[in-house]
Amino acid sequence: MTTMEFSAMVQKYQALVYTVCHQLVPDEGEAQDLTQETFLAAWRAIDRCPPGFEKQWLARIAANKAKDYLRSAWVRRVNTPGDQVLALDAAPPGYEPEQQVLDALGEEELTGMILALREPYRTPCRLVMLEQYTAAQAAKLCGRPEKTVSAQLSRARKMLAQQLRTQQEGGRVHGTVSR
Amino acid sequence: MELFRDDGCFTEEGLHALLSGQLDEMGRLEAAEHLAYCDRCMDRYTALLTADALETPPRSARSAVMGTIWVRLMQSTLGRGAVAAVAAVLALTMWRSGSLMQLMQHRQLTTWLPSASQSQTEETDQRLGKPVEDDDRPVKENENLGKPVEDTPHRKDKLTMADAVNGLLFGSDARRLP
Repeated sequence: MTTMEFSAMVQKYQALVYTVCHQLVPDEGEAQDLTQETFLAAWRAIDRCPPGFEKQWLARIAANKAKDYLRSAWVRRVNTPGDQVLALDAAPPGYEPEQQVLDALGEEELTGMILALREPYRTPCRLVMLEQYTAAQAAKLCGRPEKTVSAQLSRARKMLAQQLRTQQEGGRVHGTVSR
Repeated sequence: MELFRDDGCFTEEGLHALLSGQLDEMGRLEAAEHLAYCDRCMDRYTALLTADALETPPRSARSAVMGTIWVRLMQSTLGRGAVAAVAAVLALTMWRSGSLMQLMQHRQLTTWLPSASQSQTEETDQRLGKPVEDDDRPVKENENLGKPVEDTPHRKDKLTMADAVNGLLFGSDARRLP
């Protein structure tokens, strides 16, 4: 594809890409930046664009850019100093503090909590935490990228640990993890 | 409101919540993760993004994107040659516009300024306490004081182009070379 053809493509699909970015990242400036990043990434990988599916292909790149942005924003917010999670600093390297909390649970209670999780967390958690699959195997079974499954497992552990803390503090027992 | 069905794909109400911007931060992250790999949901989602559902970006992305692409293309194809060409064009422009000569004249004047000529050498130490004499100026210049200025093209102290370039490349001493 020539630069002129790509320029026409940018003109044609910029509203679509911006809409996808803005629906996933509400901040206008960030959505605009992600739109530009999407097209630059598209230019680098233009040979892989399936003919006739430009719309879906660009929307997929935009979703990936938004995912990366939201993931790092979430990690920054969750791991801010003062978070209760960081108080569990006795955990050995590579051992998530939330896992400590979950390991202290009885098997029956843990099973109940995992099966009460909503999707997209229930299936990978069941496979990894109850059926002892690795994250890579679970990703294959779920049909999801391994990195996505790892991120979902990490968030699910945090949710479960938070749910347990809420229970211990005398809060009501919820059937599902609330967002 | 459930965003995902048991099979892991979007519910209808989840998809419409995404389109209407009703999802919270966690919901948007989960939706982005799902759209990044699920072809079925991507097809459903893009099918709903019809012309009337699209938003207009605050400013066009085309000029910024194409500008960045052009710069990267230049860097990858031309490399250092491009930088050298730009430098040559700049030098030629400066020469043609006369700003190079102005720059050199400015540099010549600044060497006569007190701050430039007063260095703490033995010679200046010996003169401490004596009346100040403006003896740093060339004698020839003092003789010309009060006389009409003649802007003759063949003045001996006028800089040539070669002097100016030497001065730029090798410092102020180079232009005094014969």
